[in-house]
Amino acid sequence: MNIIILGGFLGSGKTSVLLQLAGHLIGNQPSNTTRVVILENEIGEVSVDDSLLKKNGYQVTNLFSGCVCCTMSGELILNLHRIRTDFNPELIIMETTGVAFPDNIRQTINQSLPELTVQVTCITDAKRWLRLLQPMEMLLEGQLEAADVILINKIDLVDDQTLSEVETSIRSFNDHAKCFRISAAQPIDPVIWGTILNTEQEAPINE
Amino acid sequence: MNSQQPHHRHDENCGCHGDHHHAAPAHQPERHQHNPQAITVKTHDASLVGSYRLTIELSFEEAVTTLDAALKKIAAQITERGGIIGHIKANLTAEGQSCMISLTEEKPDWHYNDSRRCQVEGVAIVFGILPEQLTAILNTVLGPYRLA
Repeated sequence: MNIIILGGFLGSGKTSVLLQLAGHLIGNQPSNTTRVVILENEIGEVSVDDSLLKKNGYQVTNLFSGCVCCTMSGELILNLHRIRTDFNPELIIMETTGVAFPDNIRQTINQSLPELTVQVTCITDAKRWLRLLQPMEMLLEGQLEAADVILINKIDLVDDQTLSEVETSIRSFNDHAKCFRISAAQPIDPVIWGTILNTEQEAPINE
Repeated sequence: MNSQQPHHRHDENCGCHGDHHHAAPAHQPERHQHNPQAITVKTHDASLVGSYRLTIELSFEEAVTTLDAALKKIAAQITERGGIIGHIKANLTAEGQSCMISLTEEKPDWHYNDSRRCQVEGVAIVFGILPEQLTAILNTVLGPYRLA
């Protein structure tokens, strides 16, 4: 069982990426939800993303009203055990809260479930990056520094020069991750999914 | 029950027991709110997390427009106070149309109902303002639709 953690700041486009990734994984068989489990973590006392995903036909486990990178880490491990017992999926895609540090979550999982492979993909918002950088620098850096893959999202909303500045800034926090420019409002290149899934295959995994 | 119907008369069938206290000793009508937690604000590290549940008694299309305007107003007021918007989002669900078909021995009766009630659940995650300020903003903007 592998885990992909989708991290990134509030409003960066994690849910949009997740919807596309889920669609890529299950191909044209939305009724087949047994091999991939989506684990949502929302910080509010109501769940918003969870509702959107369920309306798209996915079975979702939700941990809300707290953040699994800190206050709810125990519940995360309990839920991972339960998911493995109930569904035994090949893959869990976990969407973090927008204030989570994904690497903290990876460390928590590695300590309790060292047999699992955990990969961190971090989504950033090209449109707001430069505006948020100063007031949110510690959080943004903490989210990015240990990412394996970085998706610079919303590139359709900025000009080339701004995009270049954004990428340079992002690279100053993490120069080892594989970095891609995307617009989650458009179909994402299957090659990027291959990188995130750490596989060269481009076809849905259940085919 | 929503803000358009904030008060009711209690009786033996009142379903709100356990949610609040009734005035003693007589079980008499009283003015109170039924879901005081419809809007909550809590802190998480440097962020403020406002959560809200409300009802908008409009058609789906009208409610979407109304909610969109309300969220923009919340965003503007946060920015005016020097705050930083993390994410403001809400999910709106319409109860939609229904039809009850009633049949005895003759032709069935069809009873249509085109609901004008939409449920909203949402969050406002922000930085740089005080919890009291976010609470006041949410109450001011969402108050007219608030579950009471």
